Amino acid sequence: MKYSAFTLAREALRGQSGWQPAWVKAKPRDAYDAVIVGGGGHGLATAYYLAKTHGLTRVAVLEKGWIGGGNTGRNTTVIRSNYFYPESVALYDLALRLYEGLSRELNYNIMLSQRGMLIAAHTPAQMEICNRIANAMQLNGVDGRLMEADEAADKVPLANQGARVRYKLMGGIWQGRAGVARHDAVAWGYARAASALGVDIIEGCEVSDIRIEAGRVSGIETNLGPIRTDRLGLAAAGATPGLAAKVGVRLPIHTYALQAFVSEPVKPILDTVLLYLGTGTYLSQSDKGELVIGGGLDRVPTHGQHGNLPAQEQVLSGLLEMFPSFGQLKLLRQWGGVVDVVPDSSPILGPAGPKGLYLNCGWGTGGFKAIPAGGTLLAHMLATGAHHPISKPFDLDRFRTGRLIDEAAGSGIAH
Amino acid sequence: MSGWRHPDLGTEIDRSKPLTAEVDWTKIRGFQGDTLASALLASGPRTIARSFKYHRPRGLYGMGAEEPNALFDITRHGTTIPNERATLTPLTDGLKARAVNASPTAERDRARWLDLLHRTIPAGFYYKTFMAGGWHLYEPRIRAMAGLGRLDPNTNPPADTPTRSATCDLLVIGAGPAGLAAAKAAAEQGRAVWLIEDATYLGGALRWRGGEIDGDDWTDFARATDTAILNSDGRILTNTTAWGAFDHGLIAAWQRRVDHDVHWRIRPAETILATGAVERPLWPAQNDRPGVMSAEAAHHYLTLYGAVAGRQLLIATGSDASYATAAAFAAAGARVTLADARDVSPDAPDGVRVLSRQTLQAVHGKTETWGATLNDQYHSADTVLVSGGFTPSVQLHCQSGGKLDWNAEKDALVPRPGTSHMKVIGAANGTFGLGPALAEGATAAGGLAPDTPDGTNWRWHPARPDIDASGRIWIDLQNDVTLKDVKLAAREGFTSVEHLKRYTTLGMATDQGRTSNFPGLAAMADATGRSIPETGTTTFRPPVRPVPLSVIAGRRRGDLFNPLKRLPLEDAHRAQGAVFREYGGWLRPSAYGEDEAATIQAETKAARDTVAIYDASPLGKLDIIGPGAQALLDFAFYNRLSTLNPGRARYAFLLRESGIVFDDGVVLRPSDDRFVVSASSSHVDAVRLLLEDPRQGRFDPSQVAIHDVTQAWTTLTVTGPRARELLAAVGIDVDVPHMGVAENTWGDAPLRIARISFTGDQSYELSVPLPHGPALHARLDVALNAVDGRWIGLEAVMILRAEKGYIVIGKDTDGLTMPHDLGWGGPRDIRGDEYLGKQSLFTEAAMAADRRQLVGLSTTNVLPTGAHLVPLDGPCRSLGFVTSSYQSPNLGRPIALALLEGGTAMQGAEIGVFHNGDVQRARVTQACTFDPEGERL
Amino acid sequence: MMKERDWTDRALAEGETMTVAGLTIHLAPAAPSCLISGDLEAAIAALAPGGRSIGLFQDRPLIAAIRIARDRALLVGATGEPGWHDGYAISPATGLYTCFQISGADVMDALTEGTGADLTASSPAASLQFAGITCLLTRQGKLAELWVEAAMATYVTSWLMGRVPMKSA
Repeated sequence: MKYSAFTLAREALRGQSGWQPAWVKAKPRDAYDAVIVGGGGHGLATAYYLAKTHGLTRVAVLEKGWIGGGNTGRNTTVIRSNYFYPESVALYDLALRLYEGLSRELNYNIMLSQRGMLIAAHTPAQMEICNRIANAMQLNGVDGRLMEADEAADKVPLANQGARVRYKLMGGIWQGRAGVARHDAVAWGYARAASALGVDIIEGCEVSDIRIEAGRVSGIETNLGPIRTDRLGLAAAGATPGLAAKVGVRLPIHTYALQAFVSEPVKPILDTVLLYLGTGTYLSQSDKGELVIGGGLDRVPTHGQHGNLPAQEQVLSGLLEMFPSFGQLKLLRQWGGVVDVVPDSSPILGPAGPKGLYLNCGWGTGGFKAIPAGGTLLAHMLATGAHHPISKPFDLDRFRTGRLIDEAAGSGIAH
Repeated sequence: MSGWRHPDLGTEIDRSKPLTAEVDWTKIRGFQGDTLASALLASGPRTIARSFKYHRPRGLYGMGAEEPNALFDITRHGTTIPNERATLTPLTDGLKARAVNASPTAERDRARWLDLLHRTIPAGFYYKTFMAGGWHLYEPRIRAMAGLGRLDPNTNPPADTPTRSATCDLLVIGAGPAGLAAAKAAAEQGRAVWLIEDATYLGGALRWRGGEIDGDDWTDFARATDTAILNSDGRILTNTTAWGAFDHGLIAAWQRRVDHDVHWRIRPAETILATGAVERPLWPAQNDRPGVMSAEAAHHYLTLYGAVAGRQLLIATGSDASYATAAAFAAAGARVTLADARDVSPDAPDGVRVLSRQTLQAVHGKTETWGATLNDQYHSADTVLVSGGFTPSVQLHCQSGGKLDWNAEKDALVPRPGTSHMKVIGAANGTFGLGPALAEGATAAGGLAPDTPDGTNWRWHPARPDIDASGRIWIDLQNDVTLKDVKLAAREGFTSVEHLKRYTTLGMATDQGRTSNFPGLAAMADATGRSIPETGTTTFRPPVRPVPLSVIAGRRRGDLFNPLKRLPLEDAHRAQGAVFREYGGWLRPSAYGEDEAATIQAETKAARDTVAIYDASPLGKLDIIGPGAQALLDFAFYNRLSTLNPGRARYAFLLRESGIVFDDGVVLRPSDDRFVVSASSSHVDAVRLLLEDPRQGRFDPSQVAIHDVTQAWTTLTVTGPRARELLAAVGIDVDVPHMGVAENTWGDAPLRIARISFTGDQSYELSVPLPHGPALHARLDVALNAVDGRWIGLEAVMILRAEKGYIVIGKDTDGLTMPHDLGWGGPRDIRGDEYLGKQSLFTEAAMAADRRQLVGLSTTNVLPTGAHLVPLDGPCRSLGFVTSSYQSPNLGRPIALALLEGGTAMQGAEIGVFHNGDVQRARVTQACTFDPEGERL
Repeated sequence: MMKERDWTDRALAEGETMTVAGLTIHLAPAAPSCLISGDLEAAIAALAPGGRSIGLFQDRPLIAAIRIARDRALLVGATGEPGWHDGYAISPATGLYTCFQISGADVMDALTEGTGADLTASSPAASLQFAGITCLLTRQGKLAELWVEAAMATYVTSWLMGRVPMKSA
């Protein structure tokens, strides 16, 4: 059933009785052509592209909880491709380009707001880094440019510009196409579209083991019974290392808590996405009016989906140092996601262990913006058995060859 | 008809102190002790707010943080704070309040026509439309209509909220009867008890319901508790909200005081949670009308403030507990009808008409209540008080990992014992009743239950939203989520509690679901044919109640925010006219003159013409001492250091396990058993930890010590052709070979001289212990003038070292640079022994020919640092980037350093330099452009 | 280049005393000091006979080894030749730490703002996080002694001077 203003109006007259389930809550079958573990944005997008682009519909997405309940539902919703290395830019800009058409493609309004992103610099050294990144973006064909102090200040008129401010705004990098989207809608949109194409989305299904025959994936064990398949994609974020370990694949991943904060909603006060290099705090204002604020990781490794006070105090004091008037606002919600961090701050995409097993993990703090790309690339690998040119540099093998893609170091920004 | 002020009642108000305030430009009157809500109830119009989506008229519903409607932007003494809850705002004289999201006023809101469209804008409607043309076309209007209060750009709340840490034996959260009993019992045993309470008063519901404890009025019990606590070294904090439970038992609490708030971080040995419960509403059609209130809240306003909700009350309930409320209103002079849902009711109190087996089906009214329909019969009323049961406030229990169980008898989700470190008592544990609450509290603290005649455990007739009922029924008042929305969510498959919440936004408003989570959960369970436990419950996260950001941020602002390290000689440098900048966590002179650009050039020239001095104190100095020092350093460093002779210095690299350069610097060996490792000023501690790791994990730590003495020494570097002359003039013996170190004295001060050069000219690093720094500085300053020398800042030093092609870590290296990229392939080729990072230097990537290598660039103009290098023909791609770039006064032309793919093999070649769309040409040169033979050293 | 922030705050000078609502803060003159590592007992016996090792918020005699880590201490009141001695290492460190001596009615209140450590429980090492940075904390009777690495003295001065005193509520 198509979503549109017309159907909204029609259903208004029918007491909303005609709406259908957004996705079919399927029961697992005995066997599938491909199985994806992880019902977050990446897993659901993979299923969609397998069906849409590759015509593979005997596909299942297995999610141990409720879809989109992990990091996809817990992030600060920023979408951008202002990265340093061409390999990263290719990856994240693929995602951004797909995001740009996604609402029409999925017939689901993901509320993509390309309001731009400013990475603000506070010292001459940081401005040099901004040069480095902006030029890298331009050479990679992405819309990044430098901003001087005045233009940057216009983007964030409420920012502290007094003489005594700890971090003076000296300029920064601007990406006009960057912005935010409604994170839950991305998961639900992909789920609905994939389900409509015949993909089975199975919630409440947890994978306990992976079976191998003659060096090839032959199936999985789940709490809902065994499932046969010879193509298995792991897109389960923090749970992926544990699953990979079952087939002898060791992943260089550490998990940390990353906190995010939401204020009470107010009328519009911030029209762009902002990252301050000096404090490491970033923020945007949701369409509902809430400020969505994030910062650095809690420094202690954990699987607990919450964070602690020191990181909160640091991030929020950074916010108020930049925007003193925001001290009027109250904290409404705080949450933590569990982020899987890789030493070079870049994801792991590619085959691992037995034949037929493919990984999509290690997105660390930056997975949401990459969902359409992660899905496209994992689908490509599952369908063709080979890397896509964009996924190849992110293969697990790079840790052996040394061909790291170290965004944090390259750009000078903590990731 | 609206609320009115009773002539006598009101325990909290001081009638001798009348106050006036303005709400939506209408004056209202109240007294000292009133909240804005009680004053509004007693004197204001019924409609005081507009709902978020449909802009429906709304009135006051509750008494605390659960209040969904009464939100205002409050101005006091010219300072405005948005989104304040009237129930939690003390009334002050001259206070101005404006209803949020209503224009011009709540009563005459222009957007009230939106309600006519409600059928087209159910929950989640925005996911199903706004796709044509793109969201950006619709977003600005939606954003303007969303949001509640308005931020005042001119109000900057001061950063004056102090943090306080505390420990105690027992923390009791909540001072209702259960909490008081627990605190008293524990204090009487001699334990140090901290009792914190959200309200300004102790007692919780006792304050308006009253009660007898241990033969006296409950206030005596409260006073005795207060005394017991203070006598055993405890503390009582009222007006304090425990808002977060964190790891290892830490509780964060926000204390509101007259002078300033306080951010408490409390670590109790034990925590008892007595946070009470919140009354549930009922769900007739049009249940959001102004004039519909929580029965408990109405009773609270009556007794505490003398604010009587109305004159003709209908109380719809399913419990004996509401009978006391009915009696109180009747005694106050209101006409009261009590509609009991149960078959059998207790005797009617004086003046109260009781009806049994009643179902509240609809409320009637518009901007106020006119009446209600019960059992298909219309009843006139100006106020409908509802009581649908109580929901225990278990947020902190859940935040600390606690689980909940559905208890059908209590009709509530109650904490599962043993699943969090807290004991939960009283109404928070589903124990509704004075006697049982007191007993539970005392027992939890190992004491005896106080006595009370009131031993009942209240029960409620289970009340649920009727999913088959017609009419509009609100589940979440603030976010305008109706029962139909919950059914829609069920129909569309958003049946898990988290999906329900996110799809409909139920429970996500500023009242945090206090009155909406339970009915939402119950309705979803009903709609999907599941039980409540089967449907689940949402997670609770901090804060329990919205907390001002300024409280959590505290004083950490300005001077106190990310403080910089300061030079001991800062004042001396200021006296010389230094301009200061931030470098690697230190405040250092950039140049000694206001016109930085010109001064820097002059300083750079002087350093090679005569002599210059700069403050090099921030450079890390780590003493590595002991018989185990050589082995440790040989392992940790890329270059072998055991072969360094005493009295000598060597340039060396520290690598990470990935083979990537972590730091570079000169290592001194003043004596056989001592090395001094230098570290880049921005990561001294990181270098120290890099060395500590093998010291403790690989070697015997008792044989080698690492001492960070960076801040124990003042280091001034004298550099230039007249350096020796200058030092001789101040009596310093400079008989030290190049790359040598000597330890002498200067007067009675130890003096270490290292003849190492970052500038390429003869340089002497003079280090004296901190107390002697000023004297050395003064002496050198006098002598400087005599030899036509000058003080120079870091910017000049940066140019001097760039003229020599010397790198700065993190600037001329990126996250992938290895030592051989910088021309230091020797140790990799020679060393057979193990050292940190060795394996990674032999990977495929490490051995590739196209690695980015350090080069110099020659151009006609100063290149922008961060410009990228590109091929002059062929596809445009990045081959590297410019890492350092300056105008060199000593060469009379621009110089630059860069990392370039295969750069070493491209000497003399021309390359493109791309910056912001433009490409210019440059020629690849050696990194060192000044005195490549090193003759000046 | 755009001008950066002007930092105008100042550290207390050695020997200077300031009073801030309920607190008296005095910067003690630098006593001869050194860092010692390894066999601390042997080091103390050699450099400061009769002296002892002290931990968090413990009473400090005039000559004392303030424990920083398991095998490292700041020896205050005595110093020795730099380098390796039989079983222990010495680095001269006079002036490395500035000592803020804090007295007055509000001492404990100021301390509970700076640290969450339980000062009644003690700890073998005197190291703690105070006002967000690593410091050492000892005492002399009712005087609290906060040892701060020299470069952070300005920050700590500002922090102490700007504190918001709490009258008992």
